[in-house]
Amino acid sequence: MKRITIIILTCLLTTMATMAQTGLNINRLFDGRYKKAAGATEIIVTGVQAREIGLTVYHSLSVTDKNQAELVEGLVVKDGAHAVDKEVEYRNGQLYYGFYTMKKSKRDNRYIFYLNQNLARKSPKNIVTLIYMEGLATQDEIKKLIRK
Amino acid sequence: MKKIVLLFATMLAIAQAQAAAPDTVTVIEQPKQVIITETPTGSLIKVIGSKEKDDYSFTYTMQHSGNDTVHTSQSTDWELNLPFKKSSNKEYHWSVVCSGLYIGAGLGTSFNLVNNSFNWGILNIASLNYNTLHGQQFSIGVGYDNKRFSLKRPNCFVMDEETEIVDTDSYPEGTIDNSSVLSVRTIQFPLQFQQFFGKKFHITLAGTMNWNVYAKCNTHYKVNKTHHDVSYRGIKQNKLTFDVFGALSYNRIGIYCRYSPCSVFKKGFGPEIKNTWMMGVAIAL
Repeated sequence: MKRITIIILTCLLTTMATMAQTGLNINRLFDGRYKKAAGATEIIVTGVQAREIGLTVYHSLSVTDKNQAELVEGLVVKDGAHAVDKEVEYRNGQLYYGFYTMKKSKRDNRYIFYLNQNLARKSPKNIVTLIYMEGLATQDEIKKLIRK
Repeated sequence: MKKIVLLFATMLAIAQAQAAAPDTVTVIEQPKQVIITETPTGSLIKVIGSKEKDDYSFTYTMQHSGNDTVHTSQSTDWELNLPFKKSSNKEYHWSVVCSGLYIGAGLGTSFNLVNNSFNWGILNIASLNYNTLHGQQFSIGVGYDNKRFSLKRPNCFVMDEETEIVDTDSYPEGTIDNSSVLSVRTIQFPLQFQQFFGKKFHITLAGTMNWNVYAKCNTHYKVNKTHHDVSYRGIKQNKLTFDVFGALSYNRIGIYCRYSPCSVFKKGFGPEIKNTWMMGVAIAL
């Protein structure tokens, strides 16, 4: 019974978090395909924990597979084309990082952040990170949140 | 290289905007070399070679007006700080742990001359655990246990040194401050099962095999202002006994109950102290 409850709650949570990205191309990446994939880490946070940092949805995906990185970048760039505000940097013809502010969803701001740490100058890492965030937090607050 | 083209296009766009002229874009595919020369009066951009022609050459000169400021910047790496990190507390099937410190008192024994009893120990000084990762854990370990049985007054333990038989007798006439205690020290080998309900609550059931390595009777009394302290060692305790241990824990603090069905003394070497019950507090189970 406990397991069934956990499974139902997880499904509900995933559905709710996935619905948050409705209309975006990156939605394809959050369909659960990376949940058990090797070299991928997916984190979904909603509710109290997310509210503590001014968000209603926090959904991140980190992948180490280079082939997957290309897919992620492609989808991010597609969504980025519809951003109302964006901050991007390309390195060697590849998207190094992108911080996109998307059209609001009701009263919540929506952000997509992408970072390809393979292209870092100091200490490159084989990690591509995509974060989708939704909430009242401003751009500056989001940057403070995710930048060291 | 794309960045250089972008830079070039941007500078071109700025210059054109200042001149209020229509936009023009020059795209040079795969240039071999791009030389940007900045002087106090302006910038010179020279592109050599292109995808189609190795000897291709393009020069662009831009003069600064008096109010212009040229910014040259190079972005630094983005140091990412994810607010939610996946827990690194991985659970493993196998582990070796120390667990189960308990202290308690007796609830009663079949030997009705026992006044009270006391018990403490560590269920597992070291144990090998197998966790199913589905809420159950099995373990086998080694621990320590100590039991003390105190006799009801006016009875005390006495031992016949020759036969090594322990019996009970009355204290001499006129004794005060008397006590007579049997203590047993045990190395125990628990076989344990734990069932977890959520992260904090769990029950523990264990059967222990006890190797009773040491037993001692100590009788203490005072007669006519003279203290008498008599210890009987070498008593014949049962070397091997078995107990049942159960506990309910919340957040690793709980209550335990221990039942010892076996007699402390070997048959014929002492009173039959058995079917003892102990209950108390257990931590870190």
